[in-house]
Amino acid sequence: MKILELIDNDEEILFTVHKHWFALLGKIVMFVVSALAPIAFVILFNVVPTETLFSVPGNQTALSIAFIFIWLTFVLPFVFVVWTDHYLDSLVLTTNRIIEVEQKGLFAREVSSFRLDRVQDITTEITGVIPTMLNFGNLQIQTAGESKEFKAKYIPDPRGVKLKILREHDEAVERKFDRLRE
Amino acid sequence: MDIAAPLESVLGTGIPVALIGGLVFALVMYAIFTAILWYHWTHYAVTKTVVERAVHVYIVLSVIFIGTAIVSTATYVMTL
Repeated sequence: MKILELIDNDEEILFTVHKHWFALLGKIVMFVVSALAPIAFVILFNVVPTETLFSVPGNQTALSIAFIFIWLTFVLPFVFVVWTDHYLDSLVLTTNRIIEVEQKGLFAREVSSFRLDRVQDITTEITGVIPTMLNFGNLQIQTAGESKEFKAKYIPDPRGVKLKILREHDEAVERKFDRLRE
Repeated sequence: MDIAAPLESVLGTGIPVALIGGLVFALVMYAIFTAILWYHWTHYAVTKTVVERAVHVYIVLSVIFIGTAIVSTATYVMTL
């Protein structure tokens, strides 16, 4: 389901938070290594004196370039699949609601939302040296009623996000009381 | 026993077949995953600007990678 389909006419997207780039780092390193693997293979093939055993027919430079770039053509979409999976995980704050989108691979997607006026408590958690230095961490939101507890990981500047949500929560509560008074 | 002659004969036919097969396989996989990615980018992205930038990078890299792969494969096959 598209996010924009969830949003009412009188609702406005205030900001969207995506996971911190650090969450993507391990996968990026893996892809850089896999992208460089054929280059290392070609270098190794040129260093080892294989011509004493056999000679590869044809233009070897063209063969090496073709081998490397066919591999890169194969790897490229997978890099973007990983990035898309990372990027589509988002936390959307609107004037009325918080919407959490969790993309689980390419074919599974979980979208949950709750009203801002139901927010009761927000906890931020920054644990470790790297999260402290890069300012990212977890955000835990508790809501009133039977709604499930909501937890978002790798949120950049969680304290800032918490303040923004609390500010919007106050305004949502005020609007709710205004409507009740009318 | 001289193993170079039969090995070179196998490599002579095996390498171009493997190279063209690899290129076709890579292009088919590329097309499938590009279609899936395109669907996700156009349907699920909330902020379009970052996705637009990613699409530009993807297109530029695709042109470089696919273009070079096709040209170098053709160059290699023609030099045989």
